[in-house]
Amino acid sequence: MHRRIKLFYSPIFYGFIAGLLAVLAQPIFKIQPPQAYGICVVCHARDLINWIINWIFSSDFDVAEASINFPLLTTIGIIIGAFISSKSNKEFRLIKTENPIIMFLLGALIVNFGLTIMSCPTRLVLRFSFGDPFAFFALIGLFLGIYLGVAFLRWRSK
Amino acid sequence: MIPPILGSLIIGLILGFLGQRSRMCFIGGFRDFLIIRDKDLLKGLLSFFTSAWITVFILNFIGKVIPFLTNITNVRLVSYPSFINAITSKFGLVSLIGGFGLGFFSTLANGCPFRQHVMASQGRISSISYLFGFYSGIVFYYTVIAKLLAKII
Repeated sequence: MHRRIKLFYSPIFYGFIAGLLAVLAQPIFKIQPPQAYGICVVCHARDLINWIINWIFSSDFDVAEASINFPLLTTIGIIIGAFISSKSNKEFRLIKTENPIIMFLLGALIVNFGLTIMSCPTRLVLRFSFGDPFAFFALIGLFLGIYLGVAFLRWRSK
Repeated sequence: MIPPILGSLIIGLILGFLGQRSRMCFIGGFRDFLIIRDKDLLKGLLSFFTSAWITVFILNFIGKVIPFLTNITNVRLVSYPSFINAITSKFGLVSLIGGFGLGFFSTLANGCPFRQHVMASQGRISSISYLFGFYSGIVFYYTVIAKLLAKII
């Protein structure tokens, strides 16, 4: 019994469910066009923010075709789902680990890089599985970036 | 028919719940492998890729066998450029640079955007401030960076 729960909560099971949902989101929930848009943290957050800004100020910031009438709430769902999980798991506690100002700047930087290629790492893998060659280049860049990032972390900890 | 707004909320709930339990992170897959040779998260990444790829394959197969379902099962709306065309196009270099920045800064921030959302709802103050930067960065991008990029590219 315990082993079955462990498999249920493993990264492999997460990958299986997420991959299935990401593709099936297109025919079932009509999260399209653009294609390969089922799961994307950066793009869906952008749709939500830009939709709200457009609604308040009647401006015309970019939103994807899938969320012209109503925004996509994936990020809100992730926050609520993870909150429920951490509460039921008794893992929720307020802790401060890193400098909040640096994390604020990193968040702003990452979302700008993400929006230039219209993907978060999740959607990069999804686009690659659809056969997008640009996603392949971005994945190479991602791997190089992580390699240098790890080297930088090692250098800083010396 | 479930509308996209509700569908995306359901997907987010499922992903958030499973993501908190499995500690899944797409940056972490490569990072853990490079640092401590831990393949656990990398297996999750490969499983995501395989699962999405097979699902696309099966949907295409169903569309071919039962032709009147093609409108529903067709997930490839436009075809991508070929590999050679993609190398010579300028968006290839843009993708490489964008991916590089995403990877480098996400490693410094200790997790991909998805993982940061999960950690923020677990009560990490630094991740909560990351999210504030994340959402205000979107406004910054569309007021400043997008116009700059439109001039360069």
